[in-house]
Amino acid sequence: RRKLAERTEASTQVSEFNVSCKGAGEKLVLSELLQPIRPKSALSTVKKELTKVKQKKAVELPLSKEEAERVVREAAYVRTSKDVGRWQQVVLQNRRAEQLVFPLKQEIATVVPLEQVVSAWKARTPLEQEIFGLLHKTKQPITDPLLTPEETASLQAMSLEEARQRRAELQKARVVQSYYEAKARREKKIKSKKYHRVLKKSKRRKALKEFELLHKSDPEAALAKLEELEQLRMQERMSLKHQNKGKWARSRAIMAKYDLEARKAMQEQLARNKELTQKVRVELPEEEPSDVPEEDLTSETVPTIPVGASGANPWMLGKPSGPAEELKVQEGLENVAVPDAVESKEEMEKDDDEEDMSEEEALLQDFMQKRQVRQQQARSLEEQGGELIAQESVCMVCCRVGQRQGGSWELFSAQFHIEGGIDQRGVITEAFAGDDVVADFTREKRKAEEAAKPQPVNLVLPGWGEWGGTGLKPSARKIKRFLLKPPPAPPRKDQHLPHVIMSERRNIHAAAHQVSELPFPFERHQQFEQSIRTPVGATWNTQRAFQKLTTPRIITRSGHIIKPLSAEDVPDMATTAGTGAKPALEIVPQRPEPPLCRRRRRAR
Amino acid sequence: ELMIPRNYDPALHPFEVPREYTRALNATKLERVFAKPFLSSLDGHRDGVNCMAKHPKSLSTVLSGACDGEVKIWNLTKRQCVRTIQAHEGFVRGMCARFCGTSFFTVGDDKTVKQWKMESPEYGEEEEPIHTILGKTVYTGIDHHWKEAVFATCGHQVDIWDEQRTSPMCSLTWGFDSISSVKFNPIETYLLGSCASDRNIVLYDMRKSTPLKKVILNMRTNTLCWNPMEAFVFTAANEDYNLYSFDMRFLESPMMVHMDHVSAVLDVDYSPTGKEFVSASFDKSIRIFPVDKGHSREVYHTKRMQHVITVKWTSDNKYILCGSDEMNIRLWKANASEKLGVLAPREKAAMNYNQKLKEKFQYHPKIRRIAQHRHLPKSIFCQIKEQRIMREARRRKELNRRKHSKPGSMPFVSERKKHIVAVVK
Repeated sequence: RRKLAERTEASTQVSEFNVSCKGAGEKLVLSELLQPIRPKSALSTVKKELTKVKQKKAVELPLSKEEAERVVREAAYVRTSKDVGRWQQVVLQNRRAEQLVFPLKQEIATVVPLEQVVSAWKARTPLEQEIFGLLHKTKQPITDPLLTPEETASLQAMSLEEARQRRAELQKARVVQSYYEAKARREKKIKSKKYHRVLKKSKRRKALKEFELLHKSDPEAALAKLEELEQLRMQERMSLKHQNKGKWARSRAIMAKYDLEARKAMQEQLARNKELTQKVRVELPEEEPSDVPEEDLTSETVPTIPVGASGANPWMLGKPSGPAEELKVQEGLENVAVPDAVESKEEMEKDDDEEDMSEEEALLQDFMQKRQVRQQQARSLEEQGGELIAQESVCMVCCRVGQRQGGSWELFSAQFHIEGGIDQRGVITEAFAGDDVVADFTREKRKAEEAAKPQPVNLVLPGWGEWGGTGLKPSARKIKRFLLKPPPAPPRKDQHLPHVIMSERRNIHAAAHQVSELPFPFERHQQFEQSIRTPVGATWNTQRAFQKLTTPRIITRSGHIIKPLSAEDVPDMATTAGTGAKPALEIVPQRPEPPLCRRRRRAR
Repeated sequence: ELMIPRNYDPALHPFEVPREYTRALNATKLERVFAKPFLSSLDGHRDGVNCMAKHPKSLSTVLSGACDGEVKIWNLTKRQCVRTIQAHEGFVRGMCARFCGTSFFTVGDDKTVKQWKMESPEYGEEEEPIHTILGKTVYTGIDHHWKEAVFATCGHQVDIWDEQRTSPMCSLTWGFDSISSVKFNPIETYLLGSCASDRNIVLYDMRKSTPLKKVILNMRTNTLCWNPMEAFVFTAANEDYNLYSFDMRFLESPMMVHMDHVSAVLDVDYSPTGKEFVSASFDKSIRIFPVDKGHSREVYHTKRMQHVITVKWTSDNKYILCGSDEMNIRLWKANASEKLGVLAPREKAAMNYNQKLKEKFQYHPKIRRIAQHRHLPKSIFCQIKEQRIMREARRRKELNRRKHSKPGSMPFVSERKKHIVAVVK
């Protein structure tokens, strides 16, 4: 192939193949090239693109290496802390857990059944073969007689917690069932005809109502039910029931001559027969045939407390609703009994009200009186232009302000607003005109002194050496002998300090054994005292409670390696770990919990 | 067994609090009486023990490397050395076992990484490593990934290696310094933490092969250890006598400062339950700290134990191993007064009850005094006293300074923030 020679010399003329300027040093400008292109020429698109190029700015400088790395690091850190934050819940749960058992993943030791071990064994005798054939037919497990494959699958599928839940549910269902069975049995035993009649009636009514409801909500289902009822009725018609042919009916027929009751029963039955054997055109049968299988009692609602029952009749509380007749009777009774109770209740309330009223009124009157006294005093103060009270009492008032209830504060402020003109001291004396602080204090001190005095020890036992029994008092001689007077207490430290109360109740010998400050996890001293007061020993607790109270917080099994936490150990973590990239559970990282203990404890 | 019905009427069993208090006091005293944590010492090394490794599958096996390049494998039940390897020339700087327990890795001062079989060679075979990697610089530490065939070494940079290759998969650097230790996170296994001699702790993400964040402390951190039950928590053993527990997500201040050592802390290892950790110190003692407490619950020392360089908590949470300068490995009970061996049910119940009582009355001064009392060697005792005086003086000085300077010009800095110099993004 021939090689093309490269052209190196600059062309002086404009050719159609290359672009050049006339002068050597002149620079070609884009706009010069664009000018000759006319607006509607075919080159307009090219022109547009070229103008676009002209508008574009220069690309920014790339980041320096350090900065780029830093950006990457920051992004990676955010991502990683988010990933790690998934463990937050698990960690908190473990920290707060009452008890932790390590290793976390407990391998359940399974006993290998003997049949699996002795796999070589075969059924040889005909009996064995027959049995095995049966077992095969019913898909009973042969190698592992304990569980069928379905059962093992379900066991594997079900966690312990789930199984427990299920068992509890089953237990509950069984209990409810047995309860209703017992109830049904009890109700079946009731001999009262009246009761059964009422029951039947109520059932009928209920069925009717249900049917109406069904008719409204789902006409097709109602129609189907109607057909079913018709079917039943037809069956009834064909049968020989209610035909005066049973043993009972015959006996009634004989008795009817003499017994009004029997006659009535017969008539009833005849009427019923007629009713049943009639050909019905009406869509809605008047009633369900009596032979309709009795409604399952379990479907009945749980008995509720009848409406009529009230506090007046304690027997009615929490009792199942009896038949309507009984109800009526009870209602009647109630009507007799209730008014009394109601009246008495009302009276009581009235009394209470009156008492309340009287108390409130008394209080109000008290307040009124006080207010009047104060106003009078204020008036007198104004008149006198302010009267000074002894310095110390004012001080005392100031001290005691904090102890006063809000009322006095309000009074204080209110009066202050009204009578801004009076000077501060006057205001204060006015505000606390009612209470005598000094007297209060002396009373308090006297009380404290009384309380601190050692009390006599009473060792009097009734009945020793004399007659005993209710209402008998030990003799004065005995009381004198066995009421031990303690030695007088040492003089009080505040004996000569009239303005001070010094409590001497603190026992320094006991204090050496007492906790001086509230330990950290407790928030109130009552909590701490409660925790100390409840005994944990077997002396005070049942065996079960004792075991529960003393279980250690961490249990490890000797000889077992405890592996680090992994996603498989935590059920809700396993799923998120499985999906890999994005955790479903995203926890916003929070500040770490405050340190659990601030006490200074040192193992020296 | 005859069950006697018992009347729990509280009127029949009066004085429950005083009686339980007495029981608690007795239990505490007995605990101190029975506190004999030292079990045995494994001797055989001919130089100071520099590093140790736990066997991931066997509780009775432990590996140790000495300053003369010798690696020994010990049987803890027999308390004997079962195998000795001259692994390196110079120090064995670090060692770790593979997660499956079939082999282990050592790094030494001779710039090599060696992989060894866990089983001893057959008769007639020579003791030889499976692989040897010759590096360009000295490696100072090694740790193996918890699930994959990947390990990390540290030296001038953190290298991550595939077991099958002789060159690192990636090298992670952030500044230039000698890194003293690198540790994989046991839960989020792609996370690494390292500490370097320019006082910093750096976290890495293996997936992105990038460093994440760097925190610079007042003094240099010797090692760190991740909490095996809390993915984001690690504890750093620092040269300033303290240990710092960090939450990885909030590096601005540590979660807890653990103080009590009176000299540099050289090693730290978490208990497998993640509730406590043990630290080894240059002050010739090891201490056990609860994770959420600032002070240790226990201190172990013996007359002959010198500077403790390495410490491990066994994976059944029962024992502690420490290797020290004077060529011995010591085996301690993690719970000093625990009775070893099988307990009768009644014994167990009594033990639990006593434990509960001790917990219940732990705040009472008399009981606390007994429970906290530890006999200490004179050197440590004096140092503690001295440091207390120093701390008090420093506090007083600060108080005075604050008193005599413009209000607000000397802000209060919490103890937890005091030791952090900076966090670098």
